[in-house]
Amino acid sequence: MRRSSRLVRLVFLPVVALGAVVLNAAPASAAPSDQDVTWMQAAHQSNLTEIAAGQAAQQMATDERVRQLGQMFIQMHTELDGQLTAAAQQLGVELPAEPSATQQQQLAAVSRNSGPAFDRAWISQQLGSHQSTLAAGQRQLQNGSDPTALQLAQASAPVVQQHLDELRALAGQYGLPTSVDAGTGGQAADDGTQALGWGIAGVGGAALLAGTVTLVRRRAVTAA
Amino acid sequence: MSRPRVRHPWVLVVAGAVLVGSGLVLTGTGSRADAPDFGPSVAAAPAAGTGPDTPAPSASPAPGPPVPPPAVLPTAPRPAPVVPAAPVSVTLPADADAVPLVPVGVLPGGGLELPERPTVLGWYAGGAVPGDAAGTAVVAGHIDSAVYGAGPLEGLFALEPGDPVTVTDEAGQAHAYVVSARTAYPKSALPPELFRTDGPPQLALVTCGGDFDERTGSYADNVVVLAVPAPAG
Repeated sequence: MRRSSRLVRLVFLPVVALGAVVLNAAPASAAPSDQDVTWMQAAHQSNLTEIAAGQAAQQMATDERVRQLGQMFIQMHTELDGQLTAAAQQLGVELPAEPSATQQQQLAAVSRNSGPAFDRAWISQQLGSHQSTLAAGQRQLQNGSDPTALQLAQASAPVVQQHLDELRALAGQYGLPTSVDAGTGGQAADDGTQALGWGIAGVGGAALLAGTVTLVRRRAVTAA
Repeated sequence: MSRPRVRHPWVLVVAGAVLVGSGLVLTGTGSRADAPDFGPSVAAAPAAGTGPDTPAPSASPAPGPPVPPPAVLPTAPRPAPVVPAAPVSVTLPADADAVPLVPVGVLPGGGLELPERPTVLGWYAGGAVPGDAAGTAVVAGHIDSAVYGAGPLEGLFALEPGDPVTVTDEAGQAHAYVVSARTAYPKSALPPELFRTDGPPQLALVTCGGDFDERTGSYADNVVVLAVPAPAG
């Protein structure tokens, strides 16, 4: 008796949960909303970006942990993107062929580094891009309507969060910053007032000298 | 006859003396780098979430400035529990133009990596994110550069308590802060609490100030401006 009720609950609960998603969503047959389309396109571009970053790590990383994380990102974002692409096809959502211009710039900026500087730039860029991917997923969960797109966002969230946690842990192993060396020009220590002061003093000095010389000369003429 | 005749040389002498005097006074005036501190320092920030029994975060390698009694900060409003996207720019009151931000890490010697140009700032990506519900999000940049000249963080010296600072994230969301404190620390004594990911949500803007050493090409101090989330609405 008890067993069967638990069984009923096990089977029934997910159905109720799924039902809730469907009920909350717009009519299931409706076309995906702008939010759904925007998210699917952005999520696809994020996947492409993380896969490209993972591949760059395979080629350029000097830190083995970066290489391993990159390998994991390639695998998991390829998986996520497979589901996303299939859903987009089914829903008639057209997906961009490559990462956004900004993402391509970021990837290029990371790859301009070499040695340990590459590892550092890679971790920083990946922290930022996973943070934005997580934010976009949450926005979709709050504002999206298509049940398939919502399920995809739901399934992606823990994966992206896990990647972010791994990246934070790795960044932590590099240690907290202990100093900030933030200026090489010297302009802040001298905002121009000093130069102005010396200028004014110089002009004053010249006037003082001219006046004195004239006075002395005049005296000399009078005396003669 | 060819020389112009100075009619009143005394005027020249007196005016010259006045100019020399006032000029010398100007050369001795304090620079912007001497902008006064205000508000509670980083170390004094109330540690929400860490009880009195919690052990201290780890002894700082250098003795920090003396910790003043717990500061009475206006209770920061709880921001909506929304995941912020990565920050892309920050807007300071002095300039309507947003200053671009890039994620940065830590250099081998422990220094925070900074973009080469003072016109681009670095967000410490291993720490809190502007808009996070907890922790100190750190944004830093060169005050100036021998190559590129001065940058927008010069504006930190002119900030007053309550001035607005806005961080915009990649999703276009604006995270509004108001300035609560400015503190100058000797560079060797930057408080480690600055990089905490727990505690009250705040934004730290960090740059350099104090005396400039021509020989080493660097400044003696770090100037840290703290800002707390702006009241909603």
